[in-house]
Amino acid sequence: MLTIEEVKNKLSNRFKSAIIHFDHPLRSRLFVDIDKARVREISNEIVRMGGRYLVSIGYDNIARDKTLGLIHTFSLDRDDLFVCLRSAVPAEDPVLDSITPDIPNAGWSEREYMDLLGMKFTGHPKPKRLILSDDWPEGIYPLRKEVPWNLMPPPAENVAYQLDECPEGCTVVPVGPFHPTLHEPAHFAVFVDGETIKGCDYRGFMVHRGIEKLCQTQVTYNEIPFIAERICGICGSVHATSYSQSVELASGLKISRRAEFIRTIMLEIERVHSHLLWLGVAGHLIGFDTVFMQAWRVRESIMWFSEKLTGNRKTYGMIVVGGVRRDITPELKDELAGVLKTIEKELMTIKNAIIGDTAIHRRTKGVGCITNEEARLWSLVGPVARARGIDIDVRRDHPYAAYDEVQFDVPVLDSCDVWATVVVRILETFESIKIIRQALDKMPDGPIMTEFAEDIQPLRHAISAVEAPRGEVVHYLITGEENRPERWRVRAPTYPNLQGVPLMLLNDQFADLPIIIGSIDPCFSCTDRVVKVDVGSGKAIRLTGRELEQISRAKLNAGR
Amino acid sequence: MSDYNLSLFYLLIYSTTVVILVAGMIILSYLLGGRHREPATGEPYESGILSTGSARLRFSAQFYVIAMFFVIFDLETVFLVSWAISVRETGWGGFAVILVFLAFLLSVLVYEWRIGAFDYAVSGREILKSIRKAKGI
Amino acid sequence: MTVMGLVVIAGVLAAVISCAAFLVWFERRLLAFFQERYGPNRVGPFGVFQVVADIIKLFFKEDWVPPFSDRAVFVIAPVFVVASVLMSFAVISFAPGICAADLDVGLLFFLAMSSLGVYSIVLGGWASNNKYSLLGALRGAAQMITYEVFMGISLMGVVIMADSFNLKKIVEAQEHLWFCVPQFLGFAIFFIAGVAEARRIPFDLPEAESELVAGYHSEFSSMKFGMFFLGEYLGVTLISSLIVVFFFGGWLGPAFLPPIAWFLIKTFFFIIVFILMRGSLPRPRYDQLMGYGWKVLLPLALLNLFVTGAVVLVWQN
Repeated sequence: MLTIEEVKNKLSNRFKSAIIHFDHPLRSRLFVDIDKARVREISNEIVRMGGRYLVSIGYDNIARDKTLGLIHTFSLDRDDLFVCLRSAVPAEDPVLDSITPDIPNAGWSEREYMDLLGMKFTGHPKPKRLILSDDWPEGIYPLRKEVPWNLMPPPAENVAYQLDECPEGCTVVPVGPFHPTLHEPAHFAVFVDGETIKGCDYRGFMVHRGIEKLCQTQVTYNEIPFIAERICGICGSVHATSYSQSVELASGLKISRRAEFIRTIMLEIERVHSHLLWLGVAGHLIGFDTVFMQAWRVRESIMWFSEKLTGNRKTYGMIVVGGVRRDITPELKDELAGVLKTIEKELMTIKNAIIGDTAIHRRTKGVGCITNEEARLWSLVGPVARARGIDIDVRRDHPYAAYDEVQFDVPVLDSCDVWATVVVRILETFESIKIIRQALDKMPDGPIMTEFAEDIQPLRHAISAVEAPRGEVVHYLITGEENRPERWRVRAPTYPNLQGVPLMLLNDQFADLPIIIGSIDPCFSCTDRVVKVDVGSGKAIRLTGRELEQISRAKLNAGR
Repeated sequence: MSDYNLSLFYLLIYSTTVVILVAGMIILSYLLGGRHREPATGEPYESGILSTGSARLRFSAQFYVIAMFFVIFDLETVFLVSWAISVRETGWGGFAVILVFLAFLLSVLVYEWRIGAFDYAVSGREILKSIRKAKGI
Repeated sequence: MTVMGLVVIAGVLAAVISCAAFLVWFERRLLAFFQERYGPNRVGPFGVFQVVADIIKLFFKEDWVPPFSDRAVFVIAPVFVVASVLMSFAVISFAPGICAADLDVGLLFFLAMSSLGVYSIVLGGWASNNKYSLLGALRGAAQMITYEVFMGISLMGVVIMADSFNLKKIVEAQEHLWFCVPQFLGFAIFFIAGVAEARRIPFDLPEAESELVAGYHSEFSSMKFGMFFLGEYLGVTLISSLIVVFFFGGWLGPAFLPPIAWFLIKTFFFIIVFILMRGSLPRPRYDQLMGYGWKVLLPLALLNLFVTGAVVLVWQN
């Protein structure tokens, strides 16, 4: 166990003048201002202390001191500590050392800020466009403050993303954007030799909705939870909770205990239905539709309950800054207990059917293998990491909401393949049911909302992580003026996991591709949240509902 | 007409009907189907992006191996078929001969098995084993 | 030449095609039943007219021949798949006197026709000039020729016992004992090979929708796609009726029902088994399927053949 003081001492002894300033508003959050020249060294030191890279946050600070900021965040899981290394580069020459050679998972984050802020990273192994569409003009960096949120450059013709070179003797087989394996658009160019996968390049970010920029320029703190919830169609509450927590941390707002319990229950309800959804999809991907139908049938009951509780089957709109919007009444409490009972019973049947099916074993065991060390190096998260023997779970390591009061196990397996992710997810669902039961028992009476004053001091930093069904969600908030964030960065769990996919695919069979990609439970829309305008794969198109309707009508008429 | 010729004649009628039927279905759908022409109509489906490289991919040598096995073992079937219909006539002598014939083929099968010709991909169990080994478990 | 013969031909074709069409609806309803949902239930009573709606739709879809394809082959491939399966029905004895063409080499004729089925897959996949199609076609070809080998061998036990290739004689030879008892191994192997030949889930690797989109028929539309679809259901019907002929005594059964009824009942039983399999098994991987065929089924089929031969010879002496 390292305490925050020990980390501080270690860093200041080792790097002395490179450490400019320490800031620790809480016992579990350490913000360090560092010299930009030594980013790489200090990052490596944090990793050596047991830090796990989370995400980088770049932000525009030109108006204040003509710099662009970049924050690398790390989690020290054993020590319940988040360490954020803040560095700044002059805006006219935004060059920084890349940390990607040591921490491969930072690759995307850094590419993101090449696209969005115009930063440059020396030593980056793959400095290609990541987020912006192919025809986005060079030199316009959408996340800079000077660029208005609704800027829409004209579409350009004949620009195409240059995929990685196909290895000798291999053929490119495209998977996506419209492919039965992927339920959201993303493009994998898979290099196959016969039926063996020899490599893959990823081009995603096709469903940008510009959520971050929008929230930094247009809406206020209190409205963001509802937008945050729409980042993901499956784990919406996770994002709303994580965002709300970050605002609460930044403003020092303490919410009521009952609200925390209700949040816990909502998060676990989401986990139950998300894992059941995944189980169904995974069954479908290996050609076993009965699992698909049964898992989704079981899932229905908890969706119906959610509808009763919140008015919606999904996208609950429950969680806001300061608490939750609806209370769990005694009647609903009883009903939830009943729903959990049926789900537990039916899930047990499904579990027994799956665990005992040798055909499923053959399709998932030894498939998509990466070792524990590789998974650690690539900072994988969630069930994907836990299936590779990495014992991390934000609920336990950095307790939030009411997780400090409930007991649960974190299932960890070390067979390193897809099978382990199946088992981990099934076991987690049972744990979730356990957590909801305890939370229902222990939930104290009290108000569900705490008034939120909305006058947060600007430039406070806060980081909040929540364990989503797919892994941890990280929200980083820098408070701003005019009652809205200066910078709000969302990292969905698919973001790191997707970067590990090429590694999992390597030397596996093409037939295993669906289940390997499926095993990370990819959620591309979560991952793609950042940019400003809706962008198709080749052209930037942004249509209002009315325009869309007109186009479809015109097409229809032309066809007659 | 003899019985035998009659069956052949029926077969001829049957096959003509089948061909007419199937051709009719194709032609009917050709006549009834709609027509449209749009920018991407004439492009091959490659998951919704422009196609890259040729679709005539270089395929794995395994497929040729399978084709060779097929030739070996399906020819074998020809002899087995003629033996099967005449088991009673050829008696134990025929049985012994076909046994010798099969011994050759079985040894081919065993040989192919041993050299791993039937392992078209690395099995999951092997992968897991090597991971365990690397970890020193 | 008799009028009766022509009626039988027309009857067999009509019955077989409508049976395959009916199966489309039947399978969806039955799968829905296994999976605790409704299935098609809107068009007509219990949704039976769903098939009619589907067929009408298929006929009116654009009949598209891709400009990048090998046009002639592209058109011929789907014709092959239906024609080859339909031809096999010519030799089946549905009941005494109900057989389109009672050939003495009926069994060999069926094997020959089922081998032709491979062509439709390979040609269709190759002519499409599409990566998914080609990958699917290669898998399909590999799978079908592999299972071809011991499909033939597994039937030789039946031939030895019946001492004939004629399907009518094979049924008649089962008067005292259905071949599924002495030839159980042969039955099991034939059944598995039959599923693979019909490219049904769990052996639908050439189509494998989750990775190959639709495999060899990705680029086919309209009734050309419908042909592959029809071919699959015809295949199911064919394999089920052949199982009945070879191993379950064909039309034989207690006299209170006419022979043809027994044949249909038995065939439908196996069709249901086919559908149940789809509902209860995941798709194996291509290499696993091939390994299983060569390493397990082929030796077993050979073993079955020899034991049968030896037993028959011992019996004769």
